[in-house]
Amino acid sequence: MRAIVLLVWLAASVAPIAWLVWRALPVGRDLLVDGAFLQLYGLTLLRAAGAAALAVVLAWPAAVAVAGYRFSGRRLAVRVLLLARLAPPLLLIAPGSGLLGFLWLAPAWLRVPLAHLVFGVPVAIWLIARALARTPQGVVDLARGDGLGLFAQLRYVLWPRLWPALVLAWSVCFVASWSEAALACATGADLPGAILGVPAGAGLPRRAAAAVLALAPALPCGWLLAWALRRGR
Amino acid sequence: MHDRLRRARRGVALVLVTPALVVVAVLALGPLVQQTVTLLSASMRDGEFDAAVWHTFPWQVWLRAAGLQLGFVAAALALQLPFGVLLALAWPRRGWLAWLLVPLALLPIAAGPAVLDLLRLELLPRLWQALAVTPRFEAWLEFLGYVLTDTWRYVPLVALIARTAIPLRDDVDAAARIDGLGPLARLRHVHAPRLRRVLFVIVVLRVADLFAAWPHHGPCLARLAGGELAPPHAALASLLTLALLLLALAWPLRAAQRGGQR
Repeated sequence: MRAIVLLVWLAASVAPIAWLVWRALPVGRDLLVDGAFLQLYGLTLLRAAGAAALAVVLAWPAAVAVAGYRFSGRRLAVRVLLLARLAPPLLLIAPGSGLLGFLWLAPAWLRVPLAHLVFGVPVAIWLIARALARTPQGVVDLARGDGLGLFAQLRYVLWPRLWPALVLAWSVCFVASWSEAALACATGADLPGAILGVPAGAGLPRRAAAAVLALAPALPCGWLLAWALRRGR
Repeated sequence: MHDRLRRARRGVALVLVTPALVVVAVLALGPLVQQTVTLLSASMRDGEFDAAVWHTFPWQVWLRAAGLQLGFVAAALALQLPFGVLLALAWPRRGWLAWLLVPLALLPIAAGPAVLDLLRLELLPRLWQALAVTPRFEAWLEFLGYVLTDTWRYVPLVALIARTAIPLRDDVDAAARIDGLGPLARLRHVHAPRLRRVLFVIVVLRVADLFAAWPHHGPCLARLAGGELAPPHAALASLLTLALLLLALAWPLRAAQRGGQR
């Protein structure tokens, strides 16, 4: 039964991607030597990775506070973060990016990654706080009893549990950010800091080839995710 | 002494949580304020409130679009939750297959929009031409296509999240199997109780994401509902949609919170 379910899912999952690869084959090689495309691809990769890293950097102190402290305003803070996660990008990304531009807060290429923080930070906080909440309080108390200071507790007790969660959070945020990049690649949408830079007028094989290349970062990210999920148990 | 310690801890917590909170609040609330300002500035004329925007708002179009959106969410969830749970239960626990499947699960998420748009641009027009369907029927077929492609894209994600609620060494399931419980009985008595809480989290995330997919399926729903809205009606529609989303999530959020307190 298990094998049948997996086989059906694999077939359904791989078939559209195989079709995409088939459509991309005629022009795939041209795209791989197209300097302008590769430059935009690299920039997009940096933007998505940077947005994910920024989300994790902002999220982990907040996750430590949410998981480890009971403070007044905690519930309000959690609700604001949750509401931000729930608000549709329709409401946020386009106006958010426009607002940043209007206020001269960010150059065009940085606006979309910054707008992605609205979704990345709450998810990263949830994932990291969940990992921290699984650390038995007794272990922390024992370490404190043994005379470990705050930094030593963080280094020897919390860090081994925290860093798989940081990797997990980064991977999830990266895939979400990168997926937006793939969207812009396929629709040729004129988003600020345009992703992959395949214009809407480009032929379907060229767009299919760009979409296939857009799949590449998902594979190493998937292995990171598999590793982090396994370590996080 | 105790009070001082408590105050110090509260101070540390606030210092830790503030940067994330400020960034998210500014980025999330800014656009909401902007939409509200757009609506209010259109509703004011010569310093007085002008109700023209509200009177001319096409409520029927918005209600039809909202109903279709809720139908889209319900249809997608009805497919994604059972298939996701089934896949989570079938997911290999260890070994090379587990390593291979996680990246494969991410591929539809990364490729989804690209596959969707290329399918829509290349295959569907030929299919509609061959079938000679009416524009309205074509829009309904496209609606169905969005439900199916969203299911294709997100079932692995639902499975991955649901999988986190199932331990690597599932002794309870093994014991139930030895006791002679069939697959359905194990699903009902072993897996359902441990999956309940994570399913609420999945429902909350998926409902939010299904609303967020509007840029994709929005034009199709707008065609079915009777047209797209222009500003300032679009700003009002956005704010009403956010209110609808919060209403749709009220029950799963309360249930998840009750589960968390237990």
